[in-house]
Amino acid sequence: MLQILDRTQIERIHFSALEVLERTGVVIEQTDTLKSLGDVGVQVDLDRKLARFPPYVIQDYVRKAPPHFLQAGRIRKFDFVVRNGSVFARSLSGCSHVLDMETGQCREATKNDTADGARIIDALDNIHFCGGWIYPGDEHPSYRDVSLFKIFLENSEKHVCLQAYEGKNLEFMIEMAKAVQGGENELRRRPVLSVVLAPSSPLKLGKFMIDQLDLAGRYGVPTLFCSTPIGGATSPITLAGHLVTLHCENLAGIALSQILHPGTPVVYGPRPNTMDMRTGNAAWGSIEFGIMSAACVQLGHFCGLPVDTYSLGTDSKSLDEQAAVERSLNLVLPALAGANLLSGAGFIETIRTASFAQIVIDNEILGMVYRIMKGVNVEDETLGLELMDRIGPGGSFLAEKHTRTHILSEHFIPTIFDKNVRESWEQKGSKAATQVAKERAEEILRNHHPNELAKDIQRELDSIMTRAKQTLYKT
Amino acid sequence: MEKVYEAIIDCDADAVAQRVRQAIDGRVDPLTVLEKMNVAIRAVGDKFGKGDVFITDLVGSAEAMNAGVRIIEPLILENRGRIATLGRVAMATAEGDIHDIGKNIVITLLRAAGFEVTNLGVDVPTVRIVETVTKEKFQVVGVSALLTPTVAAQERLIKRLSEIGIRDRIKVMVGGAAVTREWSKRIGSDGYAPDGLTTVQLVKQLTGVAQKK
Repeated sequence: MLQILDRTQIERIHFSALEVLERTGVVIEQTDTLKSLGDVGVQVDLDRKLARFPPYVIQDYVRKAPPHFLQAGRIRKFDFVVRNGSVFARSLSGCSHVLDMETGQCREATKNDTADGARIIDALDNIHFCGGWIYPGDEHPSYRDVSLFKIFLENSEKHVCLQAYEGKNLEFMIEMAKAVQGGENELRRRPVLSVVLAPSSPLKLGKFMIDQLDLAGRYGVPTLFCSTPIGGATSPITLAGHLVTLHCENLAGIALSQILHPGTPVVYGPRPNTMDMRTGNAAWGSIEFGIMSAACVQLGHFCGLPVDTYSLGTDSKSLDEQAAVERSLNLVLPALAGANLLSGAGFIETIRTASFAQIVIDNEILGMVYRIMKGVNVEDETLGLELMDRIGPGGSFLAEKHTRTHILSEHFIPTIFDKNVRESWEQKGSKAATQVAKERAEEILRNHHPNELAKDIQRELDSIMTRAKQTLYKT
Repeated sequence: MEKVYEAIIDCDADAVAQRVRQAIDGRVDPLTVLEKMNVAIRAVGDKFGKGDVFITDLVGSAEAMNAGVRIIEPLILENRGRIATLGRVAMATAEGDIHDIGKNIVITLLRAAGFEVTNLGVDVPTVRIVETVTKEKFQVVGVSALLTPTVAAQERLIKRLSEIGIRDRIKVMVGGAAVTREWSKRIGSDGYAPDGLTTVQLVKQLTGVAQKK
């Protein structure tokens, strides 16, 4: 396992974060919540909306977070348990644009793209659940997130993790989730939805976040806390200071969720993006993102929490070498550190643009990474000493049953990356991996259709969406 | 005055404040001091545009300059009409949104380029933006939004300016991570820019400065 931080460094960062939470504090923009914190020993300044957490409060309440929990699909086949040692992957949540499959041009995404994206994720074996990948730009921003969730429920049977805009929006999503799963109790048992909550760095938990945190806790909806400070802008530029900020914000959010609703499933989710100091833009593909993600895996695990990292990140505007290198390095580092959830498949251009070809390539890269994480199985059968002795010097293993028996468990078999000799590759059309991936995406869109929702559930979702539009639409 | 210039280049706010006070005590015209500071910040801005310094250097220089501006601003307010700027811009983070890092970078770059910028803050009620641009003369108002639901405030602003009949008096530009060019067109804004440097270009276009060159 990769250890970016040694034990002393982990402890130094962890205890530094506890010190910041006690000395500097966190702004919590919700008066009732501040009062609740006061009841459990947090020092509260209502005028400044500031909460200073004594270390024992953080330690006591973070400990209440469950070490394992279920995230469910629409069907049980896609259920999975997040636990120590598990690893699952999802797409990004949050693209506003797509690379058009026909023209290759970047354009604003539509409801059709959202639906197509959900179907593609549904078909990819190495991507276990959906992030709210593509936001439909042809829906009004007041309820675009609710529309996205509905479209995903209609086009994929996998679990959906996404960011709601406000508490009111999340209420409608929870209604939809209840409808699909069969009621509130069933939703609590098998949550088909998890939510992403992000503080405003540095050290502010906004009203939007707290409303949703409370609502998610009431229904037992798993909650991913995504601290997103920009290194050099909303956190110290030094990696150690950036890690302290990340750790503070995630611990504060997680402790708050457990204070309000003990036992709510939570995930520690660092997003250590950096400010590119030549442009002033936030960078999600910098190598520091990968380094700090790996370090955060250690920090989250130190606190007994599962960790979600935004792997597969790139700032490239196209499917090029930069995209391949940035995403691969930033995936491998936290994966080797033991990340439990690998998020971010399917985007380029700093979480802005979705690419259907890219997510197919990401599915392939994830397969390779899962193989890395499996490591080398050393036992009598795999050592094969008897076999080697029988085959002898100069012999061949090709026809052996041992070879046939172990090929799939020992080797990763790529479906996109080509292993032919040049002549064969040319005969097949000299296709680059991006072309093969694009064709695979097109094939999925032609042929893959998840089971439709039952008609009564579909009607209920339509009805909820109508009410959502009427309630949420703001001019 | 060279020392004021150097202190801004060095991002030394204390030195800027001290040297500005010395200049004022030495009866240097406050407008001359301001102009020297503007020359310094424009130099840093140019270097940033060429990639010779980092954004942190530009923001540091801007904050150092502010230390000097705070001292001389009361002395020059009555002479505001004599201060040459490329134009006046009001900047706000949309109602309901508290993010401002990107907006603050834009403000720094605009000031470095020679514009007078009024920062209205964060979570600015649309009605307050309307009041401000109704009472005072701005060429451009910029509204940024990071949270998707708050982009609706940009739409409301444009509608409200039309309703009270002053839409043609001011250019409205929108930006922020939650905003797309398509949204900016849909709501009838005058422009969208995805980052700081393109925002400066946009403001120059909207104010006609680009053509005057």
